[in-house]
Amino acid sequence: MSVTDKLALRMHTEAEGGSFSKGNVSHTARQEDADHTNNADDSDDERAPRTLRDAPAKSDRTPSAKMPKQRDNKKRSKSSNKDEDSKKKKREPDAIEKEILAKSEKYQRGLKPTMGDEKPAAIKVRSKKAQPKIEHEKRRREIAIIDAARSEMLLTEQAGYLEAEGEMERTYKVTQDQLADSLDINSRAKIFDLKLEEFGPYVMDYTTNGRHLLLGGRKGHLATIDWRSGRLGAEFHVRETIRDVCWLHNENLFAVAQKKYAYIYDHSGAEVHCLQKHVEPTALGFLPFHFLLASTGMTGRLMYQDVTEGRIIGEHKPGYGPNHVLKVNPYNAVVHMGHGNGIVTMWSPRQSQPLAKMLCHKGPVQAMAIDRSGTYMATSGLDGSLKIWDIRNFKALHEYSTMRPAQSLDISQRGLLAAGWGANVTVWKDALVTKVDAPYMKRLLPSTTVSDVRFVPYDDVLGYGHSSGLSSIVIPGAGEPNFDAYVANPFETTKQRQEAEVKQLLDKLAPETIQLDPTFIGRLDPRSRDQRQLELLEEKRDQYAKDKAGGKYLDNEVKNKMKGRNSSAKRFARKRLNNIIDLKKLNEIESAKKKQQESEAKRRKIPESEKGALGRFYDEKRSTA
Amino acid sequence: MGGPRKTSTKMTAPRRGGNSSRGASSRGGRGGSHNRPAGKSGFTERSKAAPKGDEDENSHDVFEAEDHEDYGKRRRRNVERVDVRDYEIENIDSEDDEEIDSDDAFNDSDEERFASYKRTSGSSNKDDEASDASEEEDEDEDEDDEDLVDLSEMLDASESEEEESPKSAKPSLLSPSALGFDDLAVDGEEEDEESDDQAFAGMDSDSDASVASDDDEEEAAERLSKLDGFVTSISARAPRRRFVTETGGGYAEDENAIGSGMSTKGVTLGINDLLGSLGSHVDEAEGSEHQGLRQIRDLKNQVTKLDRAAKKAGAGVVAAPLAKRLQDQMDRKVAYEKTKKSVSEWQPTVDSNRAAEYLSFPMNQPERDTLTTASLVSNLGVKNDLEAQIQSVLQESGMTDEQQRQYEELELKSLSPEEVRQRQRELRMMRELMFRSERKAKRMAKIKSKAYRRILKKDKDRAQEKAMERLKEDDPEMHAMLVEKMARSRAEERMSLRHKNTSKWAREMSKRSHGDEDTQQALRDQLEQHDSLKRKVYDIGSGEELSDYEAGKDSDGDESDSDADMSFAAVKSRALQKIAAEMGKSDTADDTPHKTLFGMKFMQNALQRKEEAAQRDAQMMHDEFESLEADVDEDGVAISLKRPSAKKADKVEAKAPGRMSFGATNGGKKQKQKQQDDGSDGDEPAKRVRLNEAGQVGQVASGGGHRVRLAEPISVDSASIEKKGRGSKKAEPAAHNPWVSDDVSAHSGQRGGKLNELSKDSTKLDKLSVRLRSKRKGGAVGNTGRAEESVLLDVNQTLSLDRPAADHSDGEAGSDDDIRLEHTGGKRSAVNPNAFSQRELVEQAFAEDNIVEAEFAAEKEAAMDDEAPKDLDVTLPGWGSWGGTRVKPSSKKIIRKAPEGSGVLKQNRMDAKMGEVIINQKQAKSSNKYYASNLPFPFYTPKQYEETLQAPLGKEWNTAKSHSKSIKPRVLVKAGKIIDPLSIPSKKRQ
Repeated sequence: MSVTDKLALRMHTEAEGGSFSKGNVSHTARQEDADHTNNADDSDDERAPRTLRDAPAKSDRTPSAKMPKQRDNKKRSKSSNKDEDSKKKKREPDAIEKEILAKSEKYQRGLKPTMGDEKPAAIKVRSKKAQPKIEHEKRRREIAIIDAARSEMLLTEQAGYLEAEGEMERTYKVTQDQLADSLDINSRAKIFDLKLEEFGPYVMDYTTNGRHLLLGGRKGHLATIDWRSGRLGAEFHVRETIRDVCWLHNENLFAVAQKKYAYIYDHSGAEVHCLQKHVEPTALGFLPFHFLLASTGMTGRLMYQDVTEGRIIGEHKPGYGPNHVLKVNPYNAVVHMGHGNGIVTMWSPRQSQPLAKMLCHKGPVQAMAIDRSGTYMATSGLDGSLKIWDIRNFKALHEYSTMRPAQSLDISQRGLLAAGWGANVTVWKDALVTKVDAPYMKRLLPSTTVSDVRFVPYDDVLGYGHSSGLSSIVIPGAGEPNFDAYVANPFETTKQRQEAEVKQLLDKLAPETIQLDPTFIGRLDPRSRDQRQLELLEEKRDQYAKDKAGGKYLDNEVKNKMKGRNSSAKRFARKRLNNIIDLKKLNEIESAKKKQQESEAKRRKIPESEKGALGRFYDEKRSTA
Repeated sequence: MGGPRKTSTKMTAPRRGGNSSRGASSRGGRGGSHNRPAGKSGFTERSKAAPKGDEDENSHDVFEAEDHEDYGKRRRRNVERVDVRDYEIENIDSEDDEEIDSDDAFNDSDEERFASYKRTSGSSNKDDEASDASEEEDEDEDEDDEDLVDLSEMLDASESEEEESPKSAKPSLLSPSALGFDDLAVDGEEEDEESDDQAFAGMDSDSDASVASDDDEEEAAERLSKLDGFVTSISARAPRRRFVTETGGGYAEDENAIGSGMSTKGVTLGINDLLGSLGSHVDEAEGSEHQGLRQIRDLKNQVTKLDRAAKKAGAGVVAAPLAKRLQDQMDRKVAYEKTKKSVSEWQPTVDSNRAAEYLSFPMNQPERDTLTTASLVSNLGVKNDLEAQIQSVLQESGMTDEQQRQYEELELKSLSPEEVRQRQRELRMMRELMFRSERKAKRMAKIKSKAYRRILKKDKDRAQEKAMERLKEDDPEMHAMLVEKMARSRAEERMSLRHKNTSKWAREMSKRSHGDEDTQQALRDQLEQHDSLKRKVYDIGSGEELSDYEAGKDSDGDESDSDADMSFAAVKSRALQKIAAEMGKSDTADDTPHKTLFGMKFMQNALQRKEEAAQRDAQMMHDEFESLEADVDEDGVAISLKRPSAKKADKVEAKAPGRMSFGATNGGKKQKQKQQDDGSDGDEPAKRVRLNEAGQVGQVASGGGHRVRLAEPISVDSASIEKKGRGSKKAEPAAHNPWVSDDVSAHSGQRGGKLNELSKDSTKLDKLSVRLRSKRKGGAVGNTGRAEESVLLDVNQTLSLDRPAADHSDGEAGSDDDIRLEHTGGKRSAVNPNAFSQRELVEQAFAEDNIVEAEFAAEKEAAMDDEAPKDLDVTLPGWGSWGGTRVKPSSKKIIRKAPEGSGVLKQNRMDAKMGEVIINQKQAKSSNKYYASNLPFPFYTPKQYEETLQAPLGKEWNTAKSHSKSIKPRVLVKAGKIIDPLSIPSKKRQ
């Protein structure tokens, strides 16, 4: 490593996180416990953050390559001791190496890299010949991890927060006007209020790259805006209630939950589809990697529809009544629904039963938000509480309370939590990881009701819809400063968008891949061999029964034919014979018919003697038949 | 049996067979040793015998001989060669040859003739084979092997046999007929390989006709008879071997027979005994046979040598030959060992290649060295003598970089950091001065004003005139010489007119100049001359000019500087006055020294002039920088540049780092005096902060040489305090620098509004600051404390998340409920009592309401039951028991146990200890297809395998480098390159 590299690295240490990888997206390999810091000694409910962004503060994160990556706490302490022992013998890595090791944690996914010329521990394999191959492979992966950590220095953008200067200062006291004074022109332009008092309250959605905004007024006003440039895409009225809006895979299509059905419109506002299976939808969600549109509504059902083929992929009935809270976990594409009895259910399209249920609140679940690492979920209930959950192990982490139940929640890319309640929008920093006691920023817009809060991806902006329009405010440190153009590109050109669309479609995932742990794919089957066999048989039997019920085997039942009876020549001869109808044949046919009739008559006519005691029933039966 | 073979020590059986394939067999020469009637059988036997043949001498390897076809071909070739030699006219191809071999080679007459030799071959039970040539091919393979024995073996055999059957062995060995025929049969084709062969070949050539042709049978018969005679004569001369002749032709080559013979006689027969007789006959042999016999003698010598060698080696008695099968086995073993050894040499190479991560062919290519700056630099060095010389000179003179650096380091070490800084400052100053003077000279050179030039010229002339005058007084000779020189050059110039190319001559020249080198040269010269003259005119090297220019420029500079201060009339006027004064002063200053110096002696004069020049320089500098320099700071913030003395003109002293101001303090003093004299604005150049009417700072001049103007007026609260005259002494430091002092005033701006509400009048400012300070110390007491609290309470108006500051320290420990209660308690007292009551209501509403929980618990229970493994009751009522109205149904139940692994026991559930969570434990059937059913091959544990899965492969998740590495093919072959076969590194080393 050259001196310049070292320097660059050193300089970069100041920069916070920024995901190099696509680890946040659902179909990627899980950044499994990527950012376990030295939480081994922490209490159990103080869960380790998964990403750098979630980590409480830079200083808290000591380089902890030593720390094991086990998920369960029991193992953790044990193996950490072991690791430390072995570490003592090894060469102590220098400061820069330590730094890189610390950085590499989020890339390692269970594999611990070694630095420099250290040889990886020997792996026991079945074949001597395969041994070097596996070791090479392992080494390659380790190097890839280090490389990835090193390449972080290419992430030039840094995230920063508002910081109070003294004890007296409070960041939440900083108003948007004050903030605007110290902002550049471009950022200042992001603070705005749209006054749309006629058709409110508004729901909204941003595209994954944060460039386009979709607005839906309760009373039927729909608009799409390239909000940074202020260009209006489409604007029209649907003349019925709009309950939710949702972009599909890019800004070309969007879905709207209207009074009776869900609709899909294109960028020009033309109606593309009317999704009549989605009856009275109240909430929509889109699974971008599976191209599934999920909706729930007054029927209480959860519908999955494939937007590329139009098929209904799943239709589930939780059975908890009408429902209006639905969010998609960006990490594993599991749909979370909040119900009227305080239960939150998690769904996969191919399983009729929820993957998990949690009782979260004592009253109806009012709003929900899931962070992009798939670790945290925030829920608010009508009981006035706001809870943070670790959804990896279904545990409540913290509980807050709001003056009025939060109507809408959202978690930013860097882990800020926003809640809209009454006329207020409040944003907390680090609220997921630790229990904070003061908000980070807040804003009050008198005489409005906040209906929908959304952070803009890759930008430090929070947009929220309310009863009298839409507001956009700047929240420093909300968005991810370094975007990965493979995931989402805020500066996408039309051509790039088209290319990306094709790629997205090619990379479309099957709905069966949705599980709580998406890394299950390719793993060893946990079932025993016998069990597998049994299930396979059962499956076949079920299939057969199903097919039979469906009338598959009625007409063309399997015949036991003798072999060799049906040569083509013979078939031809037979056919020819059958085709010739002469007198003789006719006679024969006639006589055969006659014979048949006679025998029939004979069979029918049972002599009285044979009828016996039950003879009297005989004729009755026949007559009824 | 092997009589003839004994004589040919090194001859291999197949060769011999090959030689005799046609001629010899037809002659029946072979017949002596083998009772094979036909050549074809001879061929097969030869081919079979080949493995037995000694591997050392025979170029064919063991396996080759087994290849019938190969051998056949070779043999045919041999035969052809023989044919060519033997039958020069006839062309008999191999087919014919074969035919002859099989059918005619051994005809009736031969049979008659060789009747006596018929039973010489291995064993008696082969008689029938011999008669039936057609059946032989397969069968006699084994037996013939026995017949054709290697020499060494044969020797062994002979020795071992000697004891047993000397009697039976003798005749075969000594049979001269057999010997002779064999010799005759030996072909010359092996000449290149073996000397013996050559020897035989010679003999062969002699006996060509007899060997080869079938037609000359009579001749052959004659010779045979001769040989017979010879043999009998030998036997006659060797009476002690009489018994040999007795057993003669019809002995059976039976081991028993031999054994019996040996035992009866009890004589040991050595090979020398056998050969000895041969040797004795050699001399007496006829002339025609001489050569052959001589060869026999050679042979004998060799044999004796061999024998001796064998004895020396201690072998003494050679062991009996092993059975063929065993021999083969051993051969194979040895061959295997050898092959294994040779192959195992490759093992490390193969292993390393197998273990290599990547292989790229051609292998072991030398890496192309990439040129980097580092590598280039490392190669830098002395390459030839000249460079070495230069290097050494540099070294000696201490001029190498290293030495320089060391020297500098040393120097720096000896200096204190202060001095170092000082030096650096000096250097900087010098550089700055040089730069400025350069710039000035440039500007001067550009001046086009004729008047200026004229004045300049006049000045120059005058100066020169003066100098000349002085010179005239001091040194008239010199003066005269100079005058004359000048006059001369002037005259030359005028004469040649070579300073202008506008002359007639030049015009003419330029017209004709095309192509003429001389005229062009002349024109060029003229132009050069012109240029040089011009250079003379515009020469700017002298200091006088500079000073002159300086004088002119000075005013400009000051004007431009004062432009900046235009808004302040007083300052401007003062500056103008100052400039005027300076100009006048400098004029007088310029004049006076000249006058006083004028009358002095020449040397003194020169000295004085030097000083004067230095002073002028200083003056010039002063003038120049004076324009930049504003009022000199009394505090000494600015650097004042002392007027340099004549001794160390370049020494510059700076009082403090930071702002620099150039110019002489002397000048400054003068100026100050002047200012004081004028009395125009002697009041306060020291006061840097100017206040305008509103009490705001209009202008701050903080440095020595600079005036800082502010875009907006800064309000300084302390100013007002000052105005009011309250506690002015205390407030003063704050007044001087509102930013440096307590941040009270800074805060006051921000919090003004709010605080003013609290305080009744503006004089509370002090109070507030005191209060804040006391707060900072931690002593919030009394009124101040209360005021603070009220402020704090105002802050948290929004959300219940905020807790009072008191909670900060121990807030984390409390449970959620505690926090809420604490918090709401605070709220109630502070802001909105209704909020809490509302909350309380909500809590009351939900507190006892555990219906939801109960429902959920039931649900969980149901789910647990549902997913638990279930035994199946497969009892069919009435089946296997009696049925009927009064028959009790059997209590027996047939229960099928839940299959292993189906369902999850309650205690094993993931959510068993989780409270209000239900996790679906049923594995999704639809997702089962994504599992791997078996652990893939090389992996030992699932962990290993799953680890590999966790590493992403795509380029989206990897750096370009690691991605390209991960998809790099294991074997790379460069197109168009020759790939050498693998080499063994160990061999290469040898």
